[in-house]
Amino acid sequence: MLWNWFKKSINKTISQQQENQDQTSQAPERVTVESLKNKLKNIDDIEMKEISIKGEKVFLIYLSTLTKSSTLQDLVLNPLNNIGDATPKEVLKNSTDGDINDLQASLHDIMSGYSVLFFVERDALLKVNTFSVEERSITTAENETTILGPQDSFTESLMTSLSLIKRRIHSPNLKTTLIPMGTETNDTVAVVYMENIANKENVDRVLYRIKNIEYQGFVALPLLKQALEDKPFSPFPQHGFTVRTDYAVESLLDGRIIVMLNGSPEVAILPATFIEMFITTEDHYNRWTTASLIRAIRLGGFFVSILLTSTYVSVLTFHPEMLPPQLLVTLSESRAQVFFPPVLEVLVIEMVIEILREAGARMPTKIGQTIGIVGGIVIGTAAVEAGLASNVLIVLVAVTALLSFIPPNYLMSNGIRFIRYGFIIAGGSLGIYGQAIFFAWMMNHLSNLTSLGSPFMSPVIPRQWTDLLNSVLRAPVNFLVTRSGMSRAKKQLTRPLDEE
Amino acid sequence: MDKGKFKKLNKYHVIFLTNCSLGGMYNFSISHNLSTVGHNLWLIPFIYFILATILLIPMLRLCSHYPSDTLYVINEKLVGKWLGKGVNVLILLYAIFQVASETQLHVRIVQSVTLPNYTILFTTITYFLVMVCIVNGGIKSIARFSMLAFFMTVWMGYYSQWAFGDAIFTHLFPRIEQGVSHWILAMHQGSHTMLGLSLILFYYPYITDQKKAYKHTIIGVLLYILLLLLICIASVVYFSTWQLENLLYPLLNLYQAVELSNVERIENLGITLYIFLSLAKASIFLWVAKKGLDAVLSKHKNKTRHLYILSVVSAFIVAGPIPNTFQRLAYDNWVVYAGYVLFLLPIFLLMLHKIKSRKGSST
Repeated sequence: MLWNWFKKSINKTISQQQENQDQTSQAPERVTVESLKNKLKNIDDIEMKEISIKGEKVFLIYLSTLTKSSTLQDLVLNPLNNIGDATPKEVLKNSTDGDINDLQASLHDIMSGYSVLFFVERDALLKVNTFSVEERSITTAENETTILGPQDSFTESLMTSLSLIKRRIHSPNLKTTLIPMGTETNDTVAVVYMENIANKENVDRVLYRIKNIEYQGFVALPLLKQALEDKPFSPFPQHGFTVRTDYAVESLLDGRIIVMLNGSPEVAILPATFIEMFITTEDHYNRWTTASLIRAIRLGGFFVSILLTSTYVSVLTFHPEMLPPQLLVTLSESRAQVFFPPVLEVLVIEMVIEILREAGARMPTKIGQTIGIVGGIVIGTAAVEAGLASNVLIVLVAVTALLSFIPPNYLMSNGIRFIRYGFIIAGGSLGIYGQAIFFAWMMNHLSNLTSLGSPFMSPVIPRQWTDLLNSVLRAPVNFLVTRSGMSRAKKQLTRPLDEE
Repeated sequence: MDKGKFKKLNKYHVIFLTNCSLGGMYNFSISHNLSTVGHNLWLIPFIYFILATILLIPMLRLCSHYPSDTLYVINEKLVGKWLGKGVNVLILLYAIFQVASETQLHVRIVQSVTLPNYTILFTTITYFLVMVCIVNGGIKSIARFSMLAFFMTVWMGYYSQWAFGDAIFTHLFPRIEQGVSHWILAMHQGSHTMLGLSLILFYYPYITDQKKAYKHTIIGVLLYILLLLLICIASVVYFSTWQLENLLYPLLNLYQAVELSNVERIENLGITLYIFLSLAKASIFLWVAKKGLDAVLSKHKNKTRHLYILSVVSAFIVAGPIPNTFQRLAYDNWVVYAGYVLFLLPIFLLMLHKIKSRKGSST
């Protein structure tokens, strides 16, 4: 209800702004020397040179920060110098005509790295793509490292990232839709999918959502990804994301849709399931036995991570009778010096871990590591000796912190950390009952989450039973003959069943 | 997600909705409630199953005549608008008291065993907050939660092995020491567990495969009956007749028999996990109540505020200053008899339908 009211008020503001814009907007402005100069004033890296081609007065306009002088020389100036009897369009092989009646489009081209030739007398425009900037080279995925499999990862350049996909899928069915994004940034979003596999409804839904996002500009894909999610208030991410090309290609072949943003090395995978947050591509490179074991540990780790410290709180606060005498004695001795109630003790230590993690993440790598190790040991030991926490709790919190980083999806790790505080407070308030009621809420929330309209908890909420072969446990590759139900793919089989 | 009036419940949803609409927290006291037939009580689940299969026939026959309508709409169509609304109000009250009854039983057991130093207010509020979240997602959300509740709790059947470890299996031999009145009284006292069967009258319009609804409902009932049978047999072989008559919550005592090396007082865990079954059952009734209020106040149009109103009313009945004698009267008598009426109502409505259709064909 609150959300509906919030959306209504936002929509009202947007519609008011649009009305104002409509009132002030005029017909498309025509390109003239004055209008160009006026719009491009105070941009010091704009070059607006007056040249002469066959005696005709021409303005060459480009952005020096996006165009190397050698590129300009090769693609524009040299051909024009050797024009002979040909027309400019004939010598400039990569040129296209610009719309003289659309100043905004011409400005967009210039700001995107095009060199624009404005023929004043003929009132014509010719544009050549001279975009040439330094780009980061293709490197390994630092945050998604694997031992087996390809090591290349996407870069900030959309075209390079797209090329990495196209190097692997040589099919005309691989479709790429480029959409301008951001009212101010005028950047490009790419929607990539396999036309013969991906569900058309899903593709349309992604395109519709992207085209209907009004925003000044997304600086990174994780931001755009949030705008595409079904439930923005959820603590859990509802789409997958990766920087690994093999994972992206595997997702495409499963019928998923990839969303890429120029300037961001991550790609979003839509739709995604809860289980997939605990799966890496390396699971497919491993033997099925190892992969199944590791997946089970990851998923088990999720539940242990959210429940371990809260169980410590609830048992010590409300149900010490549930512990066997020996364990109770050990815990009592451990807590003998601690003057905080268990819930406060856990919250303090959890917060210390959060601070250490945050400090380590923000500092230079070497200092960060030192802070992590020294801080962990020193603060942990000191906290126990000072009577701030029991040594059993230090062990539990350390295990919990480690387990929370097991999921390959970083956003899921963050979600787990947030949820854990809910469990700790619930356990501290109502004991094991509080944990259960919070767990019931969480499971209900997860079961109602959707990713692009499909159940997020698939295959637990079954879309098809064969999904179970590639979920918590991973069957041998020969058994994986169907695409996941989550994809709602056009072609369900990955290969003919009668194949020998 | 999945809100709105369209067919959305698949066979699994129907099976587990039916399963979770039965039993709930009354599983804790079922062996005590059936104890008037002594150690023969384990036979009653079979009778319940037979009765359920029979009672479902008129219910589903009626629903098949009105495949897109809930019982609230059917009432108004067959009985007349105003009389139908009157009946709907009674059903609405029944559903509210069912929600309150299930919640109160749960929070009382939690209070007496798990949180003895707390009043029921805080637990009731948290219980209703979660329930509102579940019901707010619609019947499919409830169905999903019911599936979850089943799998979260079904494994606890493993704990019955401790009861069977100390079992006296001769208790299982049927005896003829009780008369018919004892059997009827036992079935009446234990009937609370089966009253949720009639809820199919409300979620039938949302079932995708309505032709197989009977089969799927029966599977759901059968799953519950098997659980009930397990509880009854474990109680019969573990307790004496005196214990069965005097222990208020025999299932709790069965949990207390569990001996694990690393955890003690496992009943804390058992009661806690039962929150899933309890929430599932109460959520279905709350959804039915919400549909009732929609029918009465807003001409069957979906209004989310009705859910909040009903939750507050139900929570007030549970934790408000209501005399205990009134609560007992409502939960143990009114609700049960209203449940019987709801079982018989489809037969009456079918007759009305027959008369109306005959009149229609003759004119």
